[in-house]
Amino acid sequence: VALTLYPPETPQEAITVDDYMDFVARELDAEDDDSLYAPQSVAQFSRLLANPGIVTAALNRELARLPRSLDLAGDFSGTSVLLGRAPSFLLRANFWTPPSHSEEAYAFETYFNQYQMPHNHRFSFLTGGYYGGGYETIIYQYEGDEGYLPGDPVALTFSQVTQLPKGKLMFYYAVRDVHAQRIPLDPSISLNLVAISKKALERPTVLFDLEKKIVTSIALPQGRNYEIPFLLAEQVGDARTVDALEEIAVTHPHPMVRGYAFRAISRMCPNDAQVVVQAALKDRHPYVRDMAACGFPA
Amino acid sequence: MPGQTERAKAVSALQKIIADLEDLPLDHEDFSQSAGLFTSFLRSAALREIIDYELRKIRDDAHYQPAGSSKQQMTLHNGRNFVLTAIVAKPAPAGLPPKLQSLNRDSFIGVVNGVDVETTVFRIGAADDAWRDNPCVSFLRQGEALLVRAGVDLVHLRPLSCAVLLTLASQPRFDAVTEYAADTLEPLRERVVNPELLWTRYMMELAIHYGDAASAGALRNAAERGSPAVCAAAARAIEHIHCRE
Repeated sequence: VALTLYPPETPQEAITVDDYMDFVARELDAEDDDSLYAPQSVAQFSRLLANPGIVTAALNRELARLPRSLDLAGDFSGTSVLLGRAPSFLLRANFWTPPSHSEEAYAFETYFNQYQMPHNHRFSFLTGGYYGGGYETIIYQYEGDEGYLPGDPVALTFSQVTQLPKGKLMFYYAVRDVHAQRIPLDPSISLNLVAISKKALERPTVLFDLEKKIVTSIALPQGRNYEIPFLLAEQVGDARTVDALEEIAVTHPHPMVRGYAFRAISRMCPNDAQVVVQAALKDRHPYVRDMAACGFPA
Repeated sequence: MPGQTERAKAVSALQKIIADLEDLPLDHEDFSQSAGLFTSFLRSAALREIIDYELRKIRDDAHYQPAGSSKQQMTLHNGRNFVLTAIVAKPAPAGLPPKLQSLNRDSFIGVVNGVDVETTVFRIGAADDAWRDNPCVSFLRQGEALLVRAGVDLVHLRPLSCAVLLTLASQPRFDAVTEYAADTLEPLRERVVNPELLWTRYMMELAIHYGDAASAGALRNAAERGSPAVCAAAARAIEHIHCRE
């Protein structure tokens, strides 16, 4: 179950993002959860949280781009900014803002922040409150079967309700910790060290209904962003495009991406559609098999 | 936009149109100057080359995520003075009443594949209520493009089947669009569409709490050149930073 971690009681000197990522690359193993919440790791993450200039530096980098292009991009995406990388690790800052008052903006921003949407993560991660009172979150756990489909019942067990204020550290296990953030009372920021293990690449994120204790949907992180090249390929692709699609359908680790590739081939080559369906029905993930059984719906 | 520079380098037709467009003044009055460049890009094989590039990247790198993609559109390039986008446009589900809408950016819209798109345009910016009596209905066919003016034209597109569209749009002239009922031509609602607005809000919240003198300098530039909402948000953030300091 998700762990609350306790840094050393003696105040530690703050460290930079670069120093922290050097430590991560040297000492932590994305395949070994224990290394992430070991005392040394907790102490270093705590020292990073004590550095007050991290988000300002990222902010200024982004603001410097604004006059040239109003499309905020760079290291920013969704509601987070990428602060650093190490092999198999990402360090991100996440922004948790109370939604606007207008009805339309409230609905969109609540969705955009994924507030009150119970979900798990395909990766294990360390998280710490960096600024503000933090979000409150309700945490459940389950056995973490990775082959669930929407509608499947799940044995979710209530674990705790907790908050992530400035200075607090927590560790979430991949797949089996399920949580839903509630809207924070004030703008807050958390830092996450995400461990991209080999298995993490193959797992979808799962969304749950906590009351009914069922899976409501599965999604790749940024999953929908993968779909558009395949939709365009169906319309403008040629034989060379099909070659690339065939490789993706067989080799890509993400089940949804394999599904998109199978679907695109079946539509581009209608004469071979049955062969494609048969191949997809043998896929290792139920998501792809389900798509094939339904005839690759839109 | 992460990845767009690398993509432009890999697809020569994309690199060329970016360089050509960035040489043009694409202000509201001058936007039509880009017509020739856009039409020749539309009629080239550039989009297929871009898609093949994206699929190769997805095939070769499990971590790769296509740059600028959302569910039904892909931003091919977000330049200094324009945005180039590919869109998959499907026929509206049966039973949905058709709507017209204004655009917040001047936009060329062109058809890539062989699907005809019925277009209905009202020029509301022209004069009084007479615009209601003068719809321009036509079909946009493969390789053809239509210019829709922000704040001037109301448009409705009806693809006959799944159409692939390319759009070349200016930077935002407005932060919202207005939807109109196609039968009565009465306004239904105003919808905020400028995707920068939410980001702007995050940026400004961050600047208010974390900004320093360097942030204030960058915000001053944004306040001078951004859309109205960006200008207002930047000015507010600068004020907060000054008060704090």
